[in-house]
Amino acid sequence: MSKARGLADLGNAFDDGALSNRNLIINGAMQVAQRGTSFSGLTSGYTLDRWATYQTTAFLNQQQDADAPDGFNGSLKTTVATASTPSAGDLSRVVYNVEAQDVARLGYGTADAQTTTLSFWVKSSVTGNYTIFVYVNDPNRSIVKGYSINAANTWEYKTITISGDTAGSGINNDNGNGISFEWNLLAGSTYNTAGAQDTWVTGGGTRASGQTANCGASGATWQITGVQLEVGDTATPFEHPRSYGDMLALCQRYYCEISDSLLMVNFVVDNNFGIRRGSTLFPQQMRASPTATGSISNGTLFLTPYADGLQLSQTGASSTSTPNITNLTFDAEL
Amino acid sequence: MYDMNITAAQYTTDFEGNNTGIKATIDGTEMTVPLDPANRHYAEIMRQVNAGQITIAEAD
Repeated sequence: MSKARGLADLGNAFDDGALSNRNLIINGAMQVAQRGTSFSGLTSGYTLDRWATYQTTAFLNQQQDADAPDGFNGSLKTTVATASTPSAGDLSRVVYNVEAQDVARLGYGTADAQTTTLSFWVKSSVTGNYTIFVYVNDPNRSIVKGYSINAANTWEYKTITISGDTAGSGINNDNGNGISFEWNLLAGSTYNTAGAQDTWVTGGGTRASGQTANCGASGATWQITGVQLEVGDTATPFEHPRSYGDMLALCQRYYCEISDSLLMVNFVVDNNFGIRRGSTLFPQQMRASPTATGSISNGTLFLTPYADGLQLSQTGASSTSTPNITNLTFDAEL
Repeated sequence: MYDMNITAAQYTTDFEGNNTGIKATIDGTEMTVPLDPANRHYAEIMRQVNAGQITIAEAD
């Protein structure tokens, strides 16, 4: 992109309301990976922070990969671990869910519904036509958008403009699921035959209509990074966070981990009940009360998570034993 | 949202006996799920309960 073109696009972004904090996608550069950097055998669940995979069969491995276009340090890479010819009902996709109150201002369900533009870098060993299923949860509305990969194993920059949906009941201004963006990698005939692209419909529609490419061959790869969603009909240069810490903090609204050493400081004996009790605050207020996991070396661990922090207690251990609490995770993803 | 594989679910209580959460095994991992409708695991547990697929055991 030329400097003149970039400045012109930023001018358009100013007209649309923002020169900074334009990107509605968190961790679009795939920097933050609190859960780990490599995932296999995962049918459905979150991988890199804020990014999920939903598969009918777990044939894709996923990883944070150093390979990226200029200006980026990493990407989310999927690799087919087991060759798959999709049956009719098979569907595999990489998913990003935007919190509703972050997109409620788009005015969906009104005559003034705003246009948005999704831009990203993508690279795949499989060329052809791919689809992105855009689903708006509250009004149960959807649209399918297409893009093509023209050259194998080459980073390509894509921009997709999405007209605002003037029908339906709009997006609630709350902490629920606002808009889901699902990059389809493999779709059976149930999903990719009938239907149309570029038209808002009620319900899920045919969520991969027009997809001809299938990442199903053993070893096939698909990568993405530099994902940006912004208001307006023009893609502007990717807005990097000021720092890794800034991006980590945004991610911790949805997922975080706490070290056992920190918790031990707060873990005190409650002689009245014959137990140990403790509490701690999360690094960020989470989107909702999170699901908690954790284990303890002796006795039984009880976790009571809230959006702001955690209460925990230990029962069934001797008064002299020192508990070792490990693997504490807190998940408030959409 | 996707269909989670929930193989066990039991309420947890505080010292006064009030339900505070659900200890559940979801996709093979034991988790403590808060009673928050905005939590996706709780929403899925209740969806499966309402569909008659699972039940939540009372606390011990």
